[in-house]
Amino acid sequence: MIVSLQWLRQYVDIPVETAELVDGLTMLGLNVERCTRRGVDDDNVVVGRVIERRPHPNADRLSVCRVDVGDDEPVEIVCGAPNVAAGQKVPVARVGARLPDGTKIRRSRIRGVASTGMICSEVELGIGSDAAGILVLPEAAPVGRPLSEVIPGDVVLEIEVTPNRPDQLGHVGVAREIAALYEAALRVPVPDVATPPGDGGVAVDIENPEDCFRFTARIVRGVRVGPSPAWLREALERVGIGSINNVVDVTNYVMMELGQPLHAYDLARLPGRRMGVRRGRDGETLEALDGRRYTVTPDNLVVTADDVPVGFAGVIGGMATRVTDETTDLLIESAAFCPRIVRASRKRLNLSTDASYRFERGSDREACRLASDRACELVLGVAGGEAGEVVDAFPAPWPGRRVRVRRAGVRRLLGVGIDVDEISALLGRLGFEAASRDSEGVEVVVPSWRADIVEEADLVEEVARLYGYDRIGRGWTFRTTTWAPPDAFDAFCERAADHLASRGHTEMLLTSLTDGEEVARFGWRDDDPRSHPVALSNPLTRNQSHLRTALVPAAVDVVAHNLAHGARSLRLFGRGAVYLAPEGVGAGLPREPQHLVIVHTQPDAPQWWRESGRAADLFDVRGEVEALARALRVDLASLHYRFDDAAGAFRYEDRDAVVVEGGILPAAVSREAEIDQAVWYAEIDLEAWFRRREAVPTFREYPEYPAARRDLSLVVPVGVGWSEVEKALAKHGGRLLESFRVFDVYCGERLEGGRYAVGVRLAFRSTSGTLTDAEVDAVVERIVARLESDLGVVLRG
Amino acid sequence: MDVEALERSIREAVEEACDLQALEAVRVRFLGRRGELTTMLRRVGEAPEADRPRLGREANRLKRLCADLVEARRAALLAEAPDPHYRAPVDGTLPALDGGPGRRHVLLSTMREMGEILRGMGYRLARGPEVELDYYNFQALNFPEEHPSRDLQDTFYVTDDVLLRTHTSPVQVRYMESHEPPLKIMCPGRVFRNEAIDPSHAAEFHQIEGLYVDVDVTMADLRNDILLFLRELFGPDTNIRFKPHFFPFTEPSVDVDMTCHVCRGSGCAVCGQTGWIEIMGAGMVHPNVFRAVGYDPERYTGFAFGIGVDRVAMIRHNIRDIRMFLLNDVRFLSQF
Repeated sequence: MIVSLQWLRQYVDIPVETAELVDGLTMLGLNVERCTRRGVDDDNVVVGRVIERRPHPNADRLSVCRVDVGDDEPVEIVCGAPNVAAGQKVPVARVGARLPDGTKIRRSRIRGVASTGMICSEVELGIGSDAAGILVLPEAAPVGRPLSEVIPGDVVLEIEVTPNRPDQLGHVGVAREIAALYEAALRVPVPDVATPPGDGGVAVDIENPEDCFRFTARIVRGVRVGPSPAWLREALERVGIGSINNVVDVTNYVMMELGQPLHAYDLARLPGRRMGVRRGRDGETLEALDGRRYTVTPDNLVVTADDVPVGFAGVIGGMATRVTDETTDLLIESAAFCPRIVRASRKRLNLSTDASYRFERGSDREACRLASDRACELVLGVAGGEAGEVVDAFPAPWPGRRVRVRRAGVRRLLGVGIDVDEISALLGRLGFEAASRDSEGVEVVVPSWRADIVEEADLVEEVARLYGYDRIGRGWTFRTTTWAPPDAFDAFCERAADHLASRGHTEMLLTSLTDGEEVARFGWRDDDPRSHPVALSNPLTRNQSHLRTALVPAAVDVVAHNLAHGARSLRLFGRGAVYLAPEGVGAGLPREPQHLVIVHTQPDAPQWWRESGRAADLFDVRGEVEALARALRVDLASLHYRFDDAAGAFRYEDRDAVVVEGGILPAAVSREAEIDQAVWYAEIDLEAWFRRREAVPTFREYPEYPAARRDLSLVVPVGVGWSEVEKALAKHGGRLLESFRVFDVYCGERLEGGRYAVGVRLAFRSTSGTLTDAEVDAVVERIVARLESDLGVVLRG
Repeated sequence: MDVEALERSIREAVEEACDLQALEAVRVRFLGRRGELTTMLRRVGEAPEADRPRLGREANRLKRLCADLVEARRAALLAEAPDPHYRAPVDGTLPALDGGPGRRHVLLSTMREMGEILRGMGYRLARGPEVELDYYNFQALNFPEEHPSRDLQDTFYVTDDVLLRTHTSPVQVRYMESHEPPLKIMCPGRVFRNEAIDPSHAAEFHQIEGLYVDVDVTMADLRNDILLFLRELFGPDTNIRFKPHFFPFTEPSVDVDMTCHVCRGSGCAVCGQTGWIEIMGAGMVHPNVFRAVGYDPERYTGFAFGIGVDRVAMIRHNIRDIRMFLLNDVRFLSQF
């Protein structure tokens, strides 16, 4: 809502300076988003008269003007405007003047000609938007007098009006708040118009009082439609509304004054005089004032004349019945419509107007007649004519409401004690009259323009606003607070993140929104839960039309971005929810398990003098996964590990679900992302990990006896994985095999057929004594025998 | 034989021995089988009779002195010597660290820090789904259907009933549905708005919500908790002011201004010369929200507040464009 201080002063005396008013309104809840000074109050900007205009000797587009500014001698001013001419009265900024944008006027030379001042345009004066030429003043403007005597300055405030306060969508509503704040008198306009009895056959028929609470039709005959007088044009322009003609301008003026939208019809062009308000019917159409033809549906409330739609009620009027230069007789509508219907109607039309904005927030139905009379009064003043009859159909008056507020109610919400007298007085200033009161509280009558006030809490807010929000809770001493325990899962995730960061990974914040095409790029099969992303019905862009089912696609975008911007090696991780569509139609909300993704990429060439220059590979990323599991005390050993040789993909899974999934990025993904080096990733289901964690580890005694070590060189045949060998070792090593580690892998020339050799160091230890060589050899023999018989693994000869 | 000259040369030689090897050479030179002192002692017998006792005493004194000096020097050298496994590097000034550890994402570490402050103030973590029912995101929070208050938050919909939560407030409702007062919770998380994206607006951003319900919670308590929280986050000289505002789910509703972080209250371009910046929204829980979860609004009162994590991180680190958070450029990430 844009308000002009000049305009506000018609209704209330403002006892403070602008800066203090802005602060006062803000602290009252009318947040002032912008405060703009219009016009100039600098007395060095004066009215001048152009005596002579001659071309500039050195510039085609400039002219040199001799201007009388009321001094003994005229001044010479270089001017670039095309419309400057001898004889004009013009605004002149004299040397020393400061313009609203801060420009200081100095004596200067422009292309070799001295210029003593500046002839100004609307824009330079901060009073309009016309920058094409200088502002030409009326002939009557007194030469040499300050411009502010001809065009008074003003201050325009942009106020943020919240949806609960439609009463502030007019100057009178804002003035009411100012009056309450400074305990000043409010002057609501009292129109003085005659209302002769009806004789023109005008009638109003409202189909349903729940859709239309009130419809006031006022006839005005014999008007002369034409341009508005300057005061009306300027008043509207200050609040951002362009002038159309005197009649339409009056309806807009009254809307900006009282907050009540009005519409003026050309009475002669109405199909009839029986006005109606009803739901639209399928098959009807209406060309609106914006020049577009809309279909009408039962979702639209329409205003009709002899049952023919002439306007979308509360949204926009019809083209055919609009006021034109030929119009002589008017029907002015001042109505109140159901907010929900207006909202549904304008949404269907996809057309938001000043009228619909107010109606859908709720207008004051009790004010329709006042607005109608005010419009009539102003029309007679600016367009002539004669007031005609009024038909006021008012089937659903404001039911009235009384709400009680108790002293205790104020105290329990605000924490401050305010006595009943003060509560009553504060509310009275805002227009809430006390209906009854006792020692504990007061019951007030809610005015019709404050339908947002429903119960005690609403009144407590009103009391608090005037009492001063910022006085509440001052000087309070801190209560002691009880620490809240940490959330176990949250702490688990944080530990994971801290661990990865300390191992050189940088954390990403990954977008939840995707284009949904990662399913095809990654080749997820139809039975994979990741292959059915949840789609948005109203996405912002195609790239953000679905919800992620995995983190890795967004991580790929991060890798691609950074590689394209000069990074060579990346170690990244990110975490967050993935959104897995519920199975079956209408199955409710998606599941949102928390995932974590780790990404490594590193080119072949050494990046650092200490490293070998090996590209990132499977074992780097799996190593990170297993190190993280160890740090979080998550048991991965009991999971089934699978590696797909051809795809370079791995997973750790249990019977129910995939717990870790990763590998090298599929070629299609890398190609699409224009990544030209290997990227390895692992995506972890953190919730599955959390369930598998050992929350509090139990100490196990370790034996003091020495270990015996044996090295074996094993040849692993094609088709057998180390993970199987590992399981066999653990199984057949029995209790004496304490641990083993792979210390060498050889797959050189001497091993044919894709076999490879593994050097493994076994450590044996007993809890009951030092092992003898014979005891150890026996176990080793058993292991070797079983490896060969079960898996075909033999000792390398 | 010049005893004094010999003593001087012993002292100098020991002093100059800069490693064990050199010291050993010194020992051999004086005390070895053919060492100067050994020889001297041997030649005492060749001296005139009268000089012999004196020479013998001097020779023995020098021998002891030399042995003591060598021993002391050896101890000193041993104390300074490196481990015998030590091999001198090619160049000890070569760089030792490549990049160093990774970094936590600045937005998430900010969210964590804010959550830890609130936890210390007794707010327990609660969570809820990011894909939410219209009921929890709007209706139960007193946003009636087809009401203009819904226009305050442009919403991504999945179906008519299912949407991406536009704020963390639905977690309040879910938590209250399943718990009885007193309760004090916080809900950090991601929220979504269907808004045109620019340096200060993102379709995905983050909030922390706080909720405290008991039989005697007032707006004065709200003010104190917010002040404590913001001072912890932005420094002890931070002040706040409460302004009336409107949120459907609180009554009275509050807009919280904080001392401008740039000028610390004296007025600057960032705060529009007011000395204040808007930092969060808050208010007393609306009776209709209590009714929606089955609490008696005559019995309980409560407050709620919500703060944007992205904005806090931007203010603290002077980040001008909210899109930096999701871009994840390592040149940005590595700075925090």
